[in-house]
Amino acid sequence: MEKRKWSDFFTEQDKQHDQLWGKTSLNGFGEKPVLVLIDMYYSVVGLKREDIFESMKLWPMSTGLEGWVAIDKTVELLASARKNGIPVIHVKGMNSGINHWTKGSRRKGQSSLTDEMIERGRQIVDEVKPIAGEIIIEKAAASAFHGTPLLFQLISLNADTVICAGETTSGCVRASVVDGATFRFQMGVVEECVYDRTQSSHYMNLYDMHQKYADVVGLDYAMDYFDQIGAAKKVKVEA
Amino acid sequence: MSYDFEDHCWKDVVDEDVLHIYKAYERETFVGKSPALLLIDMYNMAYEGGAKLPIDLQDEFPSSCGIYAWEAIEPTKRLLAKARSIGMPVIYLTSDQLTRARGVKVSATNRKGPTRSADAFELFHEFTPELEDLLIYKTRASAFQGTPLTSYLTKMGIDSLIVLGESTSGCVRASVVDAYSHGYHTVVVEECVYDRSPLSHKISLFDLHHKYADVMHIDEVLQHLEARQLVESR
Repeated sequence: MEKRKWSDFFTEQDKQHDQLWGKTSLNGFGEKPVLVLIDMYYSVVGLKREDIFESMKLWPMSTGLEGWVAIDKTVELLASARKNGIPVIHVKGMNSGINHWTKGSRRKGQSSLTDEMIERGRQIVDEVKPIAGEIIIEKAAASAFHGTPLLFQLISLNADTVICAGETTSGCVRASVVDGATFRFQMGVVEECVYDRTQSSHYMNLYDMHQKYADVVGLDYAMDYFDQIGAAKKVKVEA
Repeated sequence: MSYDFEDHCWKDVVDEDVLHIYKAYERETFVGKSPALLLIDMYNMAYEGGAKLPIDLQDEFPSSCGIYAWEAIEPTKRLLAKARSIGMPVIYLTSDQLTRARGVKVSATNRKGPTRSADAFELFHEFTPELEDLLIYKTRASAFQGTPLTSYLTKMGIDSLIVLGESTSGCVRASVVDAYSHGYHTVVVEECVYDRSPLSHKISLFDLHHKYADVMHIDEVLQHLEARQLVESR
């Protein structure tokens, strides 16, 4: 297999271990994929395209330019899914007013965000926003499955494969991928379309997910797969 | 106020033999230590057409519980006021419309859908949530299925529930069984739950009371909460 970017973060021992035990072929995807976009809202990229440290001044949870690059790539992925009739589900945070599930409130009070901007921060970024007919699910935990109807929706759609994009690789994406694999869906993560605020976490989580729970694939691979599904659907309709 | 274990609305439909068979379930009923009020599906659609028999509303408002919904309003308001006065958390549930798309039907029952008004699943005006209340949207019958309810109950330090709303045989029943399965002691307030079918209502309460929950009368629950208030204010 070609060298993956995560190997840059390996220790000497890890390299050796990967040689011995590393994944050598993909698990493969099924015939009924669903695209799930996880937490692609403004507060994790800011309202402007800025370097992470600049962006963080106003949006402490920002992933900066790496987030925006991934969003632009996700625009392509999303277009491919829509073109090929693959269901799209958008997952975002629930704002119930009750304490958030993370303990990341240490920076509270330091931000100069207005209530209006906080509300804007909760919205899915325009580039990948839902269109009519697409499902939006709000969650109150890291995993898109926990305490949400996502599983019912996937079963109703008769899905066998879930392709994920969004953020953060180490947080909600990973939690969702682990739960999805636990429910026995074939899980996919599109490398260019997931993002994080910590580079080493991003790559090591991609590595972990690829080894254990999912196929971490490139954008081109994912779009080819969607095209194949779309073409197969057409044949069925014509037949 | 003290009631016999079987002194409930099912008395006229459950015969002596069955009561005898169910003797093993007899026990003291009680309200839990840190309860929350759980108001299930008290949305406009359940009250449509006013306080009439469901059969008379069938054509125009097939989802209305009619008179049974309206009769529960006054006791429910009393219980809500008491709960608020002692700072008991109040949690509302209603139907999730956000995730209905693409013709994928993920809903609470297999019922054929009537045409719904835009505010069908808005909470009925007598029960508008207040700022500190929690509002949770669900897609299925049970308040626990596919919702973050347990996460919130844990975070809020809740160990038990007092359940109100509709329908007794549908979402109330499903939620109470799941509450039991999750380990919450649950009280169902007889006068504050309702159904389109009186028979289903009675039998569901009978089943829940014996197996999964304590069905209590409104005055019992109020009395209990008042006693609690006295102890706490000492």
